[in-house]
Amino acid sequence: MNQIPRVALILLLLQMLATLVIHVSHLHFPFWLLAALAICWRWLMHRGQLPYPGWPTKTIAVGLGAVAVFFSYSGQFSLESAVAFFVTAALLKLLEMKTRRDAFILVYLQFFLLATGFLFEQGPLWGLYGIAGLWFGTVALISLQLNVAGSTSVRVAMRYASALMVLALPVMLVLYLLFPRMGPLWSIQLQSDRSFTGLSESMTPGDIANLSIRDEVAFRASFEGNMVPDREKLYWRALVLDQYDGRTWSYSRSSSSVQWYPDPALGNGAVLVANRYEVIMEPTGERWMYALDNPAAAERSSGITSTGLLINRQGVYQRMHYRGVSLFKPRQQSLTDDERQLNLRLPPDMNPQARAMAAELRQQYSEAAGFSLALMNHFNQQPFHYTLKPPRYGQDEIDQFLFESRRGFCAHYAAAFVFLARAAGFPARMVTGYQGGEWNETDHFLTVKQYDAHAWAEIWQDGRGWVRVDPTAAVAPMRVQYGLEDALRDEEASLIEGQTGIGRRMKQIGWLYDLQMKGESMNYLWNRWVLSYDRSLQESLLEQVFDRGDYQAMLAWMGGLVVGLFLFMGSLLLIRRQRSNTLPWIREWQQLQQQARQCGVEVGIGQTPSGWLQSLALAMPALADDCRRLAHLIDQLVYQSNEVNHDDQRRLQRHIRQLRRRLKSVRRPATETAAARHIHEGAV
Amino acid sequence: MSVAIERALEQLNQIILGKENQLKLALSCLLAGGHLLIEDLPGMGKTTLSHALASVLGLSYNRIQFTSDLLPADILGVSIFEKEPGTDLGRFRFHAGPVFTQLLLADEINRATPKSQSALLEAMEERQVTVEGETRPLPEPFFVIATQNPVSQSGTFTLPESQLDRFLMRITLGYPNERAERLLLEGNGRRQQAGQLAALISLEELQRLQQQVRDIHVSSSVLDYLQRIIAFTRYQAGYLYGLSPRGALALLNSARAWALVNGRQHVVPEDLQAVLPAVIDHRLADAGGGTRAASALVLEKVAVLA
Repeated sequence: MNQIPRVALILLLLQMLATLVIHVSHLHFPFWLLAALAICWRWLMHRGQLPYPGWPTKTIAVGLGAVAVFFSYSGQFSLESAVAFFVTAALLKLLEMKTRRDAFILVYLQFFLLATGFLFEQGPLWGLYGIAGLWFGTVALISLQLNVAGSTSVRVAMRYASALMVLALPVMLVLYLLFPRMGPLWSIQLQSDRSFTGLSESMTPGDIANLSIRDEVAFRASFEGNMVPDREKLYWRALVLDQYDGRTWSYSRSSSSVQWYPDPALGNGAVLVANRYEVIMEPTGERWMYALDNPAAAERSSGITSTGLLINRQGVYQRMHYRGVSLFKPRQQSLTDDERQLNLRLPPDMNPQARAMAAELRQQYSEAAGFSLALMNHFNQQPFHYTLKPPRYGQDEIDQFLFESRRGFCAHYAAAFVFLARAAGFPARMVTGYQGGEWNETDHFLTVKQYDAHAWAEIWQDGRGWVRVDPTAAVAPMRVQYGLEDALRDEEASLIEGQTGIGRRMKQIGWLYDLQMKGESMNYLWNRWVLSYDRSLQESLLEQVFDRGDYQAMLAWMGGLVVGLFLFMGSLLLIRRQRSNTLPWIREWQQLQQQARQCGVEVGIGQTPSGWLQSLALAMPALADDCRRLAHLIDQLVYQSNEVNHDDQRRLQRHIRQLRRRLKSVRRPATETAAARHIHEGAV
Repeated sequence: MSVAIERALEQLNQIILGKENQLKLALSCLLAGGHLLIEDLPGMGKTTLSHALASVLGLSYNRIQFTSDLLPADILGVSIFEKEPGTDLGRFRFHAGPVFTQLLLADEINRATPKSQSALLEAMEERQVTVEGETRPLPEPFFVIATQNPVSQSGTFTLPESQLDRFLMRITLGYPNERAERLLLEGNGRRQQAGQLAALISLEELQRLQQQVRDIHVSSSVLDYLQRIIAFTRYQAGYLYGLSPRGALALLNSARAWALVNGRQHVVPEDLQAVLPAVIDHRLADAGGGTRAASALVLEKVAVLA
């Protein structure tokens, strides 16, 4: 019986497709074609309409597959190309699959492929999908083992698979909670060609506008005690751009020295903390993290730059969960000469009109505060337009923006502000990040999406430090108070993904909106409690259970729990088996036969007790009397009576055990004769 | 062992030489109240055996030679119009067929057409005969000993499974061993006296023995074994279909009778195993078309104690 049952084959082919679905986001089209081809081919092979491929066909197929992977991923070794290669191999294995053994291998490959899917997809629905896939694979595996034909075998296999999954669940939970969490070994090297959406280290003013039509989640945040700051104060700083070359704003690495964790600002007793919050950040591939004003490093491996940014030691390649803290007071009290220089530097000979305007304003205002107020008034009173689609500006873009078209997005206003301030001699810089977000009332968290991306300015005021100035608030106050969508005119708002047509209407229909919020909540809770369970959370959990979360104790606990679980289940099974039908004296009898078999006495399962005892007596004459007595006893107690009652069972057990002891004592000579007979037979 | 049984067996052994086991089985079959099918080549002593059994048990005895032109009426009987002497009036009178006897030997049953076969087989099951709307009971006891040529021989109609099932046992005699054959050739056998043996078991004694068979003790352990055997034939690959409940009962009753013939008041697994080939081999078809008998697999694979 080495053939693959038809039912199992159908399950296997379905499972193959189902496994590929989890890779839908990154698997290129040719591989789907290959999958369809391989599955159809295998099915026709089963129908007998196509022969099994010979070795030349197989060799060509493997070669073509390898070439396809190479060109499809332009020769790069990345996670995607590795998975694609693996998919190809599994699909080709499908063609080669002939015996049950092959089918087993394929099922294991499918399990592995399913697992690799989680490198790409980690949502709660994909999690459920993965569990379903695991179950389905188990069904296929079991139906391979079953001899029952037809639909019964699927039903039986499903029942078994469900039972197995339920049994595996506690083990899975224990491993999830206690298995040591190592760092992400693969993510850094392999995910090189993965592109992230989000802010970047350099920016031309149009960039934010492009980002602002994306409907992807940037991060989610919750606040301790639900003390949510007002929306106008929710400025999530990501980057400080302090270099301007006339077109692009960028981040100067030279300026930043980093204060790593533990942060002395949090160390001394009397800390004044404005906000405590937690952020679950989507991967960006960059080192910065999002933080409100005046952040402190509250998380291991995080630090604060001299420009007041929260950053991570490594890039954020996986969804990250961190705690954030805002201090009341800015930590920077004075500006060094270098910093002053850096934040005043402008490309020479550009934007003459703007420079002239700056000089004029400087005449009136010698203080930075007055200067920025005047500028804000200027933006507010002059006919400036806030728009997602500003015109393209060429040379002297600030001049063109300020004095000609007066149409721009947040970055244009911020850029103009910083330029004017620097031209007037006030140190100023551009800040990018996110502003606002959508508050979920039911589960109390804030979802910040890419269209919440924002740019604003900071100006240095002696005695107050860096002060945030958002010129956009002067032009389009709605942006800051209610969000981008409300600040734009309708036809522009519809450019934003997820806000188009149906999406906009969804917000107006109450229950649909509720449903959307529920989905958001589910995602958030999943991220918050399942995905972000990392080493530090594990340690804090263990610290609650033990005194210190040391790994030895943890391993011991994990091992103990797993072993304990298995022992528990094993004993359950054992008890069930014992209860089922095998009486103690029969088990003793079977052990006697087992023992005799080791002594070279043949044991036929269909031999009657007295018949077998006779053959035992023949093989071991020393035991003849005992055998006869036992045979008589069995006849009397088992066959002459109606039921073997408890006392009789004890008696039988005692006698059988006695015979076993006798057997043991005469065993040595017996084995020798058996061995001698063996040699004799061999010689013949 | 009951004296009567012992003497009967002794007597039979003098008629049929060297077939002690088969004689015991045949006697057990009759004691269990079942019909017996003897399958063997012509000239192996089938008829002699049945004749001897009838004599020893003191039963009235009829023999039907089955041929392909045998009609049901030839077995069951027929109504014939008879004229009252001296008058013009007359009436139908039933002339009982050879089936109305205590022991019927149906010789070469598979030479007859299915129609005639089934006429007999209905009588076997119901122990009564319905002819022309009138039901007539058969004598008590009623045994059928049928002989059958191996199916491969020409001119035979195979008995279907449903009809084979009505025979409690099927035995084969086989060639006699060398010594028995020598005695036979020397003329020491008493084959020809088979029909003239003195009855050793009276009718009352036979009925008493049959009652004893029913009273033989069967322990739960033996029933467990029996049920394992039945389950094995039903659920194990290798059999086309399993034993019916009637087959299971047949096995149990045969084992009881065997226990009695061997002088025991309770059934042991050996009894089941001894009657197993005779009881189940003709009831079970081998799915694989293999050469092994159905019982061989059971004897090898089914655990006696579990």
